[in-house]
Amino acid sequence: MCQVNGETFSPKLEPQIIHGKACVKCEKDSVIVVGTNGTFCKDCFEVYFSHKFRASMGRNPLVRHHDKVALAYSGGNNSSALLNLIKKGLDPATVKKLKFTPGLIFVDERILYPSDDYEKVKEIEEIMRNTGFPYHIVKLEEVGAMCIYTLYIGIVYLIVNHICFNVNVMFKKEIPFLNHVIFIIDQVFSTEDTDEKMTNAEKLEKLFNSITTLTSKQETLYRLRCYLLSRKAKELGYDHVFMGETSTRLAINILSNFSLGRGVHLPQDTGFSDGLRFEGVGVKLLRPMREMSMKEIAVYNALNKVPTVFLPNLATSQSVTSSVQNLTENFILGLVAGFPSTEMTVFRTSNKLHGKNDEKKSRGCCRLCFGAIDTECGTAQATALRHTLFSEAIN
Amino acid sequence: MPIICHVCNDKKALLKRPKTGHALCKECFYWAFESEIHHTIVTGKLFKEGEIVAIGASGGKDSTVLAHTLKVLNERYNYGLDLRLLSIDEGITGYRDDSLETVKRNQQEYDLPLTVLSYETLYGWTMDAIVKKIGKKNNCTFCGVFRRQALDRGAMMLGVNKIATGHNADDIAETILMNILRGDIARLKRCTAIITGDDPSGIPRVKPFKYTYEKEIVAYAYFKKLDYFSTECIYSPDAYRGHARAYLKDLESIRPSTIIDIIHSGEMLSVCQGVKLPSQLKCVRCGYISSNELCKACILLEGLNKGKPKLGIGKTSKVTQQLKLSKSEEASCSGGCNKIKNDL
Repeated sequence: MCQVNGETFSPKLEPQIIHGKACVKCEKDSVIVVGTNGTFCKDCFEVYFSHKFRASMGRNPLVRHHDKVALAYSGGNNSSALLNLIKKGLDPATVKKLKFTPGLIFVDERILYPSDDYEKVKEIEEIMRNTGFPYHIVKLEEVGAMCIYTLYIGIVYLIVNHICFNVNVMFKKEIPFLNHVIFIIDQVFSTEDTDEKMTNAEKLEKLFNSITTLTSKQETLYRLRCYLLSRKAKELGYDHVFMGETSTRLAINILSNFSLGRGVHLPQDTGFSDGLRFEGVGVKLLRPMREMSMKEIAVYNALNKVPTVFLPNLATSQSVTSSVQNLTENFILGLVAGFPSTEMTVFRTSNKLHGKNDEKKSRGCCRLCFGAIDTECGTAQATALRHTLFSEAIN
Repeated sequence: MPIICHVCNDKKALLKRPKTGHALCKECFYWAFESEIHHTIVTGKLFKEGEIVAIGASGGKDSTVLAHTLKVLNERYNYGLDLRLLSIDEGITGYRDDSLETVKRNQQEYDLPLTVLSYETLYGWTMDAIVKKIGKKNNCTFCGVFRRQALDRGAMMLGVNKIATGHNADDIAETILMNILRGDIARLKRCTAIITGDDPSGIPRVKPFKYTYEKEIVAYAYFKKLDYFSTECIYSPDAYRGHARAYLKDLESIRPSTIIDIIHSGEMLSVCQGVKLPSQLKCVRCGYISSNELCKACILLEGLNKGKPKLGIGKTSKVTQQLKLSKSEEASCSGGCNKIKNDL
């Protein structure tokens, strides 16, 4: 529908310049309005933007000199802006040169979408090559070879998909509907399909085909992707992974996490670092862009003519009400349009929260998402989980 | 072919439970619904034997079902509770007067003593009069703040040990979302508690429906043919809560378990150390718990009585400024009055 008379529709990339308002820093004319933080001229915006990136790294001093950092590059706006920032920061002419060595990891998820985006992936590869940094293309199906039981547990996850259950606890307690779960696992991976016979791609396809809701598909993909990035980066000799998640994206993730019963994982899923989540398995995922908004990224990319490549994902051309994540995205973006400070409020709220079980690491972690366990509800209190199990049991 | 009840495997199923997705017959649904409330009451240790419990009754579906189930369970499981109904009359013509009639009918049916307190006797203002002053925006602030205090005052008058309110799972999930969106850490921490009141002088409030879906409450009231009042408040369309409510309803339609999941998320989080929370004080004027020197109800009343109804809705700094001003006025006035007295 975007094509009129064969002419390709493309959004205008030239930023809008407002006249008559002054930059809040230097009081020069011709400025950019960015969210709630006032108006800037082009130069001051660049300084402000890269300062935010450096400031968040400074506040969370996890990256040491000469560390190797893998950037999770997807071709999208966020990771492209991050790549551009790093490229600039490593430029010998820069005053404070960044002190780490970067590399790029691109996760190729095309197995999930029957698409003809071969050209686009070529384009992404071209961009990565042009940076001069080492780059790696990792296929999503490789996750199958790494953690075979993750896939199995993925099935369990589907059945009990509202809460991140600790499978061990569940099996011990012999909760009635577990029989149902085991039955389904048997069905999906029946004894004839032994692991050796199935290729990784087949396993992954089978997993995703067996997931019935888009919510669970998106969630499973997100978890698998994080796991793959962390693990692969470790194998390739990196010390950290940089994710491109912005404050807008994190605000969306915070609310969808809450809605999916993953409140306890907020610090790991939306903090600067994902903590001890993948300890022993992979490296830490860091989020240096977490204080920039979507709009700031878009302005930065437009000003710097950063090349981006759009690849379709699970949410592409799906309706708003097709999944919890899509609905939340629509909800947050709608609210932000009317109440611009909502995004930062949500984001800051989550900074002040932590899981109740964080101190007790001995409780172990979930075998699917490696997050903290929040299913030990004790016997002394009324809790939502205990109530849910009771409801299941009496029916 | 009719679907057979999942529990008794005998009768025809009448509804699919929104909570678990199982198809149940009417009798089994009653049984499941009531057992779950009982389970919540027992595991949450909501009541002790011999306590006097006031049920906050508005005549709406939640409180009607609450009064009904608490009475049934109290008899069935011998909680040994002395149940009372406590209603607040906000003074909204065309809404509360009708719903109070429902409460009165319920009182006769369930044979529970009823007390009605009105805003007019407590504060000297009805909601109708307040809305005339403030307009249709922000009036829910007045109603909400006043009702909370009115319930406590009524409960103190009756000498009860606990107040039971009909807040359901949807309400609590909605409040959690609201508090995240507003960044209200202190309330986010408190709103998931099933029993309120760290304050020893306050009367604890309990929420037996904390894990009960709104849909199931409606279904229960419908099948039991309970007499309830189901009109939206005529002054209510409250912008911000409306957003959270619409979002929650959409979430529920995508995945019904989200409501319990949000409560689960809320329960599993606590506030980081070092985050500043408002301290609990006592209002210097009325003695009610408050996070400021003056409680919200007193500030709102002050504004109404001084002809500045917007006081207490905007910034706190303005309130303190205004109060200082009125204090100095009072001082000068009382000085003057004393002078007259002395002269006499």
